[in-house]
Amino acid sequence: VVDVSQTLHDTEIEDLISLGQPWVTLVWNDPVNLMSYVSWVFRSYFGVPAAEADRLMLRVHHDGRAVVATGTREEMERHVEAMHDFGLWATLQKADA
Amino acid sequence: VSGFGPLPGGGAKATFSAQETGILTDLLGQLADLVENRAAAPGDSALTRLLPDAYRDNAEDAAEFRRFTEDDLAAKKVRNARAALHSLTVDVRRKKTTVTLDNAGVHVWLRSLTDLRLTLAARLDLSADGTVPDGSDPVVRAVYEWLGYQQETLVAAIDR
Repeated sequence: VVDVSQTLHDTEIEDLISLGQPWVTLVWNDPVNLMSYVSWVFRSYFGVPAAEADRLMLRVHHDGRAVVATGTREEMERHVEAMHDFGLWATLQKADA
Repeated sequence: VSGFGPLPGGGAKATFSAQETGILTDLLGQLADLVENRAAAPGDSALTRLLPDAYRDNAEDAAEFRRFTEDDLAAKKVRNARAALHSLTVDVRRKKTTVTLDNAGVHVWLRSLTDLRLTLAARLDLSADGTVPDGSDPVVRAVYEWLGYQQETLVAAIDR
């Protein structure tokens, strides 16, 4: 029998507990990026249809931010890095945060 | 002012004057240097926007993420800027520069134009609603707006 408390650090236990709890990728509004470009990024990277990309882009524009993806923490970290590569301002957090 | 236009079969093309080529060459070089030598400019507002925190309310997670990803991301931005520079081939006789981009080249240019605009916006101290403050350098402002036009036409050239 393995004593879990001795083999896992606190952060690892947190990760286990958060299994199944979704994370989200948020894209934040900024005054620089063009609406047409943001919409193109959503189509190009997430592969969503034009109408959905425009809807997400307008939500960013009007609400100041939008959830563009939901999934595991690792997936969201990958998406955030990709958004930063495109020059969009993105962060990740737990879905209920 | 001319911008990018579509190429049959994909990609895009633009022709720049000698002055426009000079500005692009200068700015792309500066962008690559800024990102490459980012350790020399800690807290620079342009770098903070080019390489933002991935976690908004958790400095520890943000620092951890940065440790694992920043070098890669910065290297990509430097590579894009240098590739865009490289695609500016000057026709000395005609004093014009024609940029012909395949799809990969379009992706490079869209990213570098974005990075240039983010950097200039930080230098102009653009407000959250996109207003340029009174008294800002009119040349920088004109270049910022010109770069926006170039990007708009490049997106339109490959759109849908």
